[in-house]
Amino acid sequence: MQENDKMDTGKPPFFKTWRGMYLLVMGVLVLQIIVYYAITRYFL
Amino acid sequence: MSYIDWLVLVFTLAFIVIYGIWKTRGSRNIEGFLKGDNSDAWWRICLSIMATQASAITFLSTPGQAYEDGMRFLQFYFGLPLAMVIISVTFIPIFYRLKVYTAYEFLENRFDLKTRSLAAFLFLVQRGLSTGISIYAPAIILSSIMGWNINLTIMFIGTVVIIYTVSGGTKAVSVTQTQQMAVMMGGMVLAGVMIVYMLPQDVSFTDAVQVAGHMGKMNMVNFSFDWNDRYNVWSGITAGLFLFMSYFGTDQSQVGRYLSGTSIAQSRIGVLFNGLLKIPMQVLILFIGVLVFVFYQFVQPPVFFNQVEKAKLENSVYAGNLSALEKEHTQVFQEKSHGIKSLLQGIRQEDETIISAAREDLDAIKAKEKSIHGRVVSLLEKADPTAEAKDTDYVFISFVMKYMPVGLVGLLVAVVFSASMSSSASAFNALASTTLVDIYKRSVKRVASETHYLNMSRVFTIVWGLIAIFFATLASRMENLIQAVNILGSIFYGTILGIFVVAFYFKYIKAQAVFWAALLTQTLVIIIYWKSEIGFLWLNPIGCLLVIFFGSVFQLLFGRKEMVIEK
Repeated sequence: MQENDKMDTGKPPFFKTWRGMYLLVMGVLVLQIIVYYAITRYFL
Repeated sequence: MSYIDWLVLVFTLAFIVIYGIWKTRGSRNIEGFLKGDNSDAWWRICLSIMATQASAITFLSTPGQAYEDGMRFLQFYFGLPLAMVIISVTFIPIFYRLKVYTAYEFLENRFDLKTRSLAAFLFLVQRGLSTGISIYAPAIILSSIMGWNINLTIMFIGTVVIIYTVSGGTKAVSVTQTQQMAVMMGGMVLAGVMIVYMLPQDVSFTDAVQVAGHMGKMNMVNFSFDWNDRYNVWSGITAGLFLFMSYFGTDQSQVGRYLSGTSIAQSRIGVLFNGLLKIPMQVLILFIGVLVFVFYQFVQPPVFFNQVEKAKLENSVYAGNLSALEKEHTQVFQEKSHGIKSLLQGIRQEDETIISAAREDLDAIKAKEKSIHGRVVSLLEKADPTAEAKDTDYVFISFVMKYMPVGLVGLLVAVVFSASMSSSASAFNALASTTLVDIYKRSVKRVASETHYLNMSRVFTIVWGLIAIFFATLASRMENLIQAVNILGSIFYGTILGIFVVAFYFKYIKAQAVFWAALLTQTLVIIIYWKSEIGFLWLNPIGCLLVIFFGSVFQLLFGRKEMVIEK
């Protein structure tokens, strides 16, 4: 519960604003697509 | 299954259910029953969202899909993280601000009662039917493999879920889903490790990946665009985005999960972590299917994975033809073993010439295998026109039953049951919430005591559970079960999402216009699905865009009329 309270500040974890968190999610998606594309290309 | 497997299965399921009931006992008010007293932390919301989406079909069909088609199905999920961001920005703050129990309540606030009721009705029809398929899918596969009675299996899954969902409501759903997720992911990771361990001793994990890659199974990303291709980056990001926005933003079985958070921040974090974790989770499940494929390059697979259908053929007049095809299948497998050996040799020597030659041979062998499989299917259909011709859903479970060690079989069957229960529980809970809040409390009995509404929530949970069990016992065999659920969702989701997108972003479109636009769109989407060959994923953006388009047109017409009347 204490851990929940720490997180429950209205702010996202790791970032000062939600925009940072959104960019992280989209950045991880782009990174995954690049990695998976590289794997696909490797075997073509 | 051995006694130990039974013990593992029964203990795992009993522990989850009993723990869930005990932990959530004493739910005495409607807030607690429908929103879990807003007590869920972000990590529980995230696990609950993932467990709701991961039905038993995910664990049965997805590895089979990878076995047959490689990892390209992964692209279906590329729109999901983007949808999570949009939902976090737009949907969650509005739902919290209005303190709604269901997503459809918001629509009355923005439009009117009939639009709210229409969206709730579309959800109830779609979710009621697809929950039936979600229960039926594992039941048909498990009953075929284990020799269990299908209707009893369906009733067992349905009844257990009804018991703990009626007892603890939303809180019981999310508490049990945490344990169920642990069982599901733990079981699948163990299965993956075991498959690598069961490969021939001289075949390393890297060799396995190389073999899979050279045999076309590591086809994770495809940038070329084709309207009729279900899985490519563009359909995943665009059409998938619409599907997941509809599913996570407007389907009460998911909205109910994040509305149980302690705050907007907790709900947002839970939803965004789902955006981060979902694709890696799908990679894991698909990769297990690829590993099963590699395993069967060294051990001869059955000519047809559904052993029940095969047994029927063996007892028919076509038994001789089947036996001839099995002999041919063995010969082709021996040819393939030579091909695989030279492919491995080429890989280890890093010799492109050997690899290319081996790939060419293996492509030719693959064509022969496909031809044999096709002939087995035609024999099956000749012997019994109602036979289940597609065996991909049986690839993983038949592998588990035949090759996995004692104990792990029980755990993996528990994975299938857990997945089925977790998604059904969310669905029963959401169907009951929507029926109570959007239909009963709004249009049937507007004034009653808290206890009355709580009791009615329980009654609706039981009724929807029974309806889902009824549909499950009626469900006919579909080409691919995971696709059947996705197709059903895509037919309705586009329209529902369209209503919400208009509500959020097109302020000039009013109630009358959006209502008639939604009705017209739903009719058109059904006709498009019925009459055209277009990939089902595209029905989501088509539905959504049509609602916006017709809504704008009708608003122009109705708007003028309203102005004339006012004058």
